[in-house]
Amino acid sequence: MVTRGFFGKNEKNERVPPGQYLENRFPVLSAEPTPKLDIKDWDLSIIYNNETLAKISWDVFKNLPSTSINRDIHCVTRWTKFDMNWTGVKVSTLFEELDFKPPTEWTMIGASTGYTTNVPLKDLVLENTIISYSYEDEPISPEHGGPVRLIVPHLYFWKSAKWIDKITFLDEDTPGFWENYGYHMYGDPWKEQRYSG
Amino acid sequence: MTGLQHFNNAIITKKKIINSDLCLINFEVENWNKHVPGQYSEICLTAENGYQAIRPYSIASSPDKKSVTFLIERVNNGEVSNFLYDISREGDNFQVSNPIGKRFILQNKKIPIFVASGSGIAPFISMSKYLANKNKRFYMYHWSKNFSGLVIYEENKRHLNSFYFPNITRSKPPNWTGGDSRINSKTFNNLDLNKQYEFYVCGSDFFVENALEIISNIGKNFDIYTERFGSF
Repeated sequence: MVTRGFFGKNEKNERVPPGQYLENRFPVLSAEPTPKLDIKDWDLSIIYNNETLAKISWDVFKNLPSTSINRDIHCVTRWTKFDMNWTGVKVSTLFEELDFKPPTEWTMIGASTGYTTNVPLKDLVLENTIISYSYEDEPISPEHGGPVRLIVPHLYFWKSAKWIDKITFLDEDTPGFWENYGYHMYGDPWKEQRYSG
Repeated sequence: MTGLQHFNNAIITKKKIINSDLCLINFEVENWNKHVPGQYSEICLTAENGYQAIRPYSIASSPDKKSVTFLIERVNNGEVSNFLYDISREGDNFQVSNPIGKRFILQNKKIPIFVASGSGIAPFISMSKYLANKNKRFYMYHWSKNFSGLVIYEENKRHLNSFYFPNITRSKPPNWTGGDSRINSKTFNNLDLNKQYEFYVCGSDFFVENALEIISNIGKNFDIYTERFGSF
């Protein structure tokens, strides 16, 4: 049904997934209060069966081989922002450096705020999935998930957990915070996997 | 399990301009699924070439009403909001999604306290009308730049400074008896802290962060629900 008088400001752009619009700014959206964290106190735990298999301190993490990515980011609230530059450590690199063998195919990403989101292992170890500490060559600001956040650029941005501090391996795919509130278990923007059911 | 929400045909039945930024638009939506106060819907505009623009808006009407109301705020370069404010008129056709959102919804287990800045009042219009229809108590704190931005002053003024606490931060009318300071550590001094409350906070990221800090400093373990505009 055509809307009278509406012509649309945005041209169709093949880089913009269906139902999204191009945004030049970087909106702040979080479900919880923004924590004020000192990067020196940050660490990352890898957990399975209630057991911490590894704990990586900031001092160790910052010396791991870093990667910079330039990706378009898509938020389920419908904004898409092109060419966002993030620097950090690939999850696959982290696992290799620790000589860590993932015990299952499913993970729950956890943040210091209690936020969680499920990401399959296969997506976590892709080339462009990084644990990031820098956005546009600056430290990531607290409201955007600093000091350290996950970036899973090929999924809707709620999967890129702010303030990441845990990767918990699970025996089956289990919904996280937003997934429990009806968001899609996987969240592919190109398939518009916004909500489940 | 498509992940796509369902859109319904909708027609504007009433449009009320409030001031140079805000308007209220009523839609009659075909096959409308009754919403829970606090939920939002997406409004879809379609151009002749098939281009669509879709944005989420909090529902500002009580589920007891047949029509669905949204509070629309003009924003810089806002493609959908500015079209709705500037160009849309009664009788125009749109598509409106079924209600969405399972988190920022009225729980109604404790005494609700609504804390809003600007157009963040929208979901609380829905919640407060729903509660008022059931003669249930709530508190409402609202910060606005000017009087017209309070939007629901008239409906609530009989409770002024008892349950309803409007604050005007810029252009106060003469003889204004509501508040005029920003949210601060004294804002919630009137609450009886022996009672159980559920807080709902809606506004810009800056406002929500500020409010959360003040509420957490009251020192009680309240239930707190937040919604942000996605400001920059």
